Amino acid sequence: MGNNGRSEFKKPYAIEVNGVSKCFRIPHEKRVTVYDNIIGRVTGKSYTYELFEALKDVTFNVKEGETFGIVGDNGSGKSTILKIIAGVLVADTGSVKVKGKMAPFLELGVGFQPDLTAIENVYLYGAIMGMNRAEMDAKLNSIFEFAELDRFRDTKLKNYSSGMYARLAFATAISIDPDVLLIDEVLAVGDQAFQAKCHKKINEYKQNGKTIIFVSHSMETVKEICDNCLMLSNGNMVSIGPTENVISDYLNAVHKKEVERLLNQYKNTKDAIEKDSADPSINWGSKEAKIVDIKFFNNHGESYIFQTGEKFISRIKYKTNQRIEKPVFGIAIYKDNIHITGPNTKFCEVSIDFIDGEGEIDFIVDKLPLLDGSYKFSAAIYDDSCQHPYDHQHCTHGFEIKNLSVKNYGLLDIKGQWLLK
Amino acid sequence: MDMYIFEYSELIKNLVKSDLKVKYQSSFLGFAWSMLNPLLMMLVLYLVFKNVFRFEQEHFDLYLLIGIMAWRFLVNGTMTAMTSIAGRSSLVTKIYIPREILTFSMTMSAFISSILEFLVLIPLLLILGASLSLTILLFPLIHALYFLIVYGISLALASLYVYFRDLNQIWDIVLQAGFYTAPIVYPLSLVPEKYMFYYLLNPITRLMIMYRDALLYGTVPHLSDFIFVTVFGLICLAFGTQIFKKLSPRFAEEV
Repeated sequence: MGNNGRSEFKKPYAIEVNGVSKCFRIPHEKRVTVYDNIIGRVTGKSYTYELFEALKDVTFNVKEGETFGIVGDNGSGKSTILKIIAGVLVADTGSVKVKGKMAPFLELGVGFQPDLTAIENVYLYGAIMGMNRAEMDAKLNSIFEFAELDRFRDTKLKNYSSGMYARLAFATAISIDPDVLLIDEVLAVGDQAFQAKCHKKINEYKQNGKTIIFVSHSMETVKEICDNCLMLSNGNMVSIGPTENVISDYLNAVHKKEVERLLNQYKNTKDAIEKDSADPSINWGSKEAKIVDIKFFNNHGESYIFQTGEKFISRIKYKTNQRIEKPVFGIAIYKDNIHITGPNTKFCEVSIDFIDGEGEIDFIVDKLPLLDGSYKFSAAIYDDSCQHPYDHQHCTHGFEIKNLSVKNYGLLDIKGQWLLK
Repeated sequence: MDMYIFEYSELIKNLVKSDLKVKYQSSFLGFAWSMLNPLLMMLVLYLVFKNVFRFEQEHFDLYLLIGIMAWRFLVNGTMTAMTSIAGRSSLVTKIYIPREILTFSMTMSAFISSILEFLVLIPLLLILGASLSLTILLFPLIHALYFLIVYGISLALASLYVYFRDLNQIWDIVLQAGFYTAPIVYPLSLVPEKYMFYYLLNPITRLMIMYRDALLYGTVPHLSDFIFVTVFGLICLAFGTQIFKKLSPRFAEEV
């Protein structure tokens, strides 16, 4: 690590979240009136409530100019942490520090009044975001231009269609020039063209060195724009770090059932093989060398849900009961009985003199070109002639591919070029 | 007063302006309605009290009008400001601004409406045969002291209303009762001497006396009234601020 690394390290934090916890009270019987309270007192029913821990000891820092994503299921606490950073909610414990001017986009069109005209609402919104009139005057034209609503400046907002409303709200929101942006799935609304506009704007913010916290369900968007991410689950920090890693954790967590099914299935097959009761159509061989386990990894760790273009490592654990000269290891990937690929060590000119005892071998793909779907995995050990199987496990294991960023149809993402003649 | 009023003056200006705009735009006659209301009320009360109860009070019409107008500020101010937090949920749950600003703006909007009403009073004073006196210049001061009281009460009501949604009904009843505890529709001389001490403990009574002194009778209100009302205003403000501060952290969860 040279000077470069050190200066990166020194880059100041724009947002520091330290040990933040938040509990919500959810009363069994909501008492929202004086009447309810008096009746409650008189009938002697005590005021009871459930405590819902929305956040548990959440700590993270966001560097200046960084785009930081927060992902998680519904109810994981991601909106709560955003609201705490925005100052809307107050944490029970812990602290939040934000440096610079902050603009929370928790909702588009905050404070918009339907009875006021578009232009009046723009001024009002500007004031809410802490801009003065002169600053808003300067932005007025660009706002209405961007929203394509120049003709409707003096129309009351209640006469706007919802599309016009959203456009005005977005154009007004992005006219604010903060240092720190908090964005909560605002992008989830609107049509494709609108979302594309939003993305463009966020990228512009990024390039201008703004610090952004971005909360979203959409892994595609998170993958595209975030440098680092935090994954929350039931208010706990589950994973934090580079986006790629957190997304991998997220995908594996979201598809937990699928992953469990895959692992269980493989375990059952393995047990059957162990007891020699496996279906001969999925396992055969003379068993001097045996495959005892298959596992998959990406850059970040063990994974059974991969993204198109991600690193893919299949790790095959073997065991021999004698010295095996010149073994050949092979794998195969299938989808719906289509044999997609079947590399082996011999084809790849990897010569292995012998194996004896236990060991592992990895097959590594830097960028897995497979597109969405469920894939089956085979592994085998053969002799040097590739005619005699020591152990062959046919489609015993599997993994899933989720494509987040590659645009293509079919089974494979084959890179190519178009040349118009 | 707290710094937020200066720091967010631009926002307050905008909120007050938009509130007034909405208020006066939403009905066809706009401002005229808000003027007609006290005038009609004055007319009815005048006819009833003058002819049925036969009150003898100099300029009883103007006496009533001033009382009603002054009272209206308390009613309109507290009733609209009460919903300033619960009624603007997006400004509470989607962005952070000191929430006092919302209550302050609504009270301020009612304050400005009230001043506009009082402005109409000036030509009426002349038309109905009273004379204008320099003491009218004391009106801003009296009204400002009144603002302290109304804002203080509004802070307490607005924050409590978030938790108790029937507070507006209760407050409505309190106001209706309060209407008769101060000399608004009847002459002060009607109050028995032995109760006068207690009667004067009501700061609204003091305010009514002060408004009429300054606007109708052309006399400078008593210093004791000024002091009493100022102290009460500050107590209201301190009390309201305290309640608001205590309750505001969980506003976003309850709204």
